[in-house]
Amino acid sequence: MRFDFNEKERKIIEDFSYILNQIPGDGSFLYNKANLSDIINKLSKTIYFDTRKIVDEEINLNSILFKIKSDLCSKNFYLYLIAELGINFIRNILEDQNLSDYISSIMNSKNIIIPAYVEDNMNFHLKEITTTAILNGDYYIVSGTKKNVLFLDWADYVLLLAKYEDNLIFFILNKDEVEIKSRENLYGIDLLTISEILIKEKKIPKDRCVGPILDKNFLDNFFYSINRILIPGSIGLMQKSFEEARVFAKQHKNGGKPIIAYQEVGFKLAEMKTLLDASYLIAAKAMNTENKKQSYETNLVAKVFCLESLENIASSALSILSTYGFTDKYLSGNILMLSKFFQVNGTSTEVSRVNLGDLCLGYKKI
Amino acid sequence: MDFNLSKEQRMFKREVINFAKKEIVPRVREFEKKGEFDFESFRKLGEFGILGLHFPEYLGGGGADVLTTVIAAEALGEAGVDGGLTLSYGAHTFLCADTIFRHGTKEQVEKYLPKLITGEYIGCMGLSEPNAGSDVASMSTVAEKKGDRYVLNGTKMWITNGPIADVAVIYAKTDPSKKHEGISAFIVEKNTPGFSAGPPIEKMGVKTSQTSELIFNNCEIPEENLLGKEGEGFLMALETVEWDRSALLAPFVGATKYVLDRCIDYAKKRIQFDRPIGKFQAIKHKIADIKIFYETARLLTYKIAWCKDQGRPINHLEAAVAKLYVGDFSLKPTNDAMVLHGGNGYTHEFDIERVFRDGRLAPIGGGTSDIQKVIISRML
Ligand SMILES: Cc1cc2nc3c(=O)[nH]c(=O)nc-3n(C[C@H](O)[C@H](O)[C@H](O)COP(=O)(O)OP(=O)(O)OC[C@H]3O[C@@H](n4cnc5c(N)ncnc54)[C@H](O)[C@@H]3O)c2cc1C
Repeated sequence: MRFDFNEKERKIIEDFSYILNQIPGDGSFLYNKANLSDIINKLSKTIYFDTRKIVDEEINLNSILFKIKSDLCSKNFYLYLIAELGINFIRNILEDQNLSDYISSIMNSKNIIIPAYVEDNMNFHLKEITTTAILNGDYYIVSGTKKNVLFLDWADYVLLLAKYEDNLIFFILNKDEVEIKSRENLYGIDLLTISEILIKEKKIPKDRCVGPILDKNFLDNFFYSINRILIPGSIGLMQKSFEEARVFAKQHKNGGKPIIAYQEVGFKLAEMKTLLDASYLIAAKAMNTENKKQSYETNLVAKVFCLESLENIASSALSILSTYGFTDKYLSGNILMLSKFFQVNGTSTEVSRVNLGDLCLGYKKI
Repeated sequence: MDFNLSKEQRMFKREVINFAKKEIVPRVREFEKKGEFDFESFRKLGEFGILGLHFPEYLGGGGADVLTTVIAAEALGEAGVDGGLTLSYGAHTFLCADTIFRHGTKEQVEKYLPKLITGEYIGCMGLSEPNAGSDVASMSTVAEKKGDRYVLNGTKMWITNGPIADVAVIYAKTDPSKKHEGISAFIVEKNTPGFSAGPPIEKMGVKTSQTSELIFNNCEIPEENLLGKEGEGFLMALETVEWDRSALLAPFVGATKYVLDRCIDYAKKRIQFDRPIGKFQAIKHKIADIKIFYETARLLTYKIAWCKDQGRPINHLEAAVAKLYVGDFSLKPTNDAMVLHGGNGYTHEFDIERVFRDGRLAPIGGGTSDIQKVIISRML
């Protein structure tokens, strides 16, 4: 066992922090696509997007990625979500698939490719998918409606999930090729958007598809990969929210003393710190476990524990920050909303609990 | 970072579980029901090498690192050993023997450690008093130096192994005008005139461990029974904190795994509404929550052990976090486990209520959860 980073690992984390310091902490860059590209380019030069830089047995890459991901999310959660969902996620889930040159080149040039998979009456039961593809010579004809498509505004492409015969299949569409039926800002995190899109008998060449996917575990892996975005992200958000409350409680005075001196506040912080430390360890473990079954299991443990702890911590932080917490100066309010958003994405915490129970009971096999 | 136990550690854990299941667990229910200490099982712990696992081999110990020691303690809980026996072992090994080992003179170490390691001697540690629990620095037991002897007067309270101990590490004030700095530690042997133990206190859980008052009434001990130097007692007690937050907590953590395994088994066998209750989502949720607690709690306790193995100075913040977590968060999973077993969970037949009762000590003994919160909030 080893609970810390060695010197080499610390150096890589420090190098990443240096880049992180050059990135804004708020969402202002979202107003300008060029700024976003600029920041993505900066990140491209780091281990964050290019893990090939590390070939050293003494370095545990997964641990480092866990740390820098949580740091990035703490610094700027908008950027984190776009970079993770729009770039890293696609790479992870398509890792083992045969990709056409066309798709490979799009992915390699750091385009933002947003996944569109949710439908009415279909979230984690992807088998009930109604978006269908019909093969017609060198083309697929694709039709369907997708809901809850995140961050479409910043996308270059959309990765559309559909059904071809009895299998899943993905298509990469240029963003302009999809019809946007509705677009709303996410409640409480209003710089981020959620859209409904329509695809009507769209002809898509074969080299823009991935699949059909025959791997029966693909859906589990799909959600597992989303969880792997949310878990380290939640640690960054917890740290941010905890720090806001901690610093405030030490500086803000009432009755002639800093409010941390009151047990009501000090004990809340102690509970927050306890949840944070426990979350940190289980999240780090979840991102670090090689064994497939254990990894899947720990992913579910961390998904439930970290995401619920995030809600508790952000909620307590808001209590401590009192009215100040509702001003622009603090992010704990946004983080509280994000915690719910994080809970329902990937395998929701409820579904994760059921899956974890099934695993423990031997009803579900990995 | 690397969160895997080594192959050797995993094998050793399995060995401890097998040993405990064979030699100790079959006796648990009988002794728990009687509320009696199981001398035979304690001796077996000594024979197997658990009582002295981390002490050097020249003293008869196992020479193991702290993490392995914690894994063994966890394994006892996981096998189904009751919290009473594991508490007795914890107080004996970590609060008494380890303090003598670390702060004793060569003579003191050679005199007591070999016997404590085999279990021939049983040890205890007396810090708390009737009016000094959380605030131990306000203790009123005094040790007055008279020539080449110390004379102890006062009463210790809640002392695990008190009625059965052969050797006690006792904290008393050599300078009552001071708070922490006035506290010193002493070795007191059974049958020393003026030293007596009260009758075992009847408790809710950890019933097989014997808890009592220790009374010192002009109890004279030779000056060579002073441990370390005068005034160092409080720091010595603080040093046991890491053991308290790792090896003493570990059996509680292991007991959650025991309970989890029992729940899984029960949920698959118990049929209601024509199906195993494990098929109901609410039952899966409970099982998942117990699993979540177990996985998180063990990482926190392992981390304290690992840091100790690295020779790092005590991190009181992390230690308090681990204690608070195990203490406060273990209530729900053990309660869930009891409810999952329905009426059976409420009976002595199924052991679950025993784990629930034993576990209620975790937020009290060795510093209450509130005191952990005081420590954490002060250190932020
Ligand atoms: C089964 C058992 C075995 C034990 N074994 C040993 C042993 O071997 N050796 C030994 O020395 N001791 C032992 N103890 C004693 C144990 O460590 C104490 O019970 C514990 O430290 C609490 O002290 P107390 O009982 O006096 O409670 P108190 O200190 O009187 O606390 C009462 C309540 O007040 C709260 N409180 C106190 N101070 C504060 C504060 N500043 N802020 C907020 N809340 C506060 C506490 O959290 C608690 O809820 C044992 C206890 C038990 C039950």
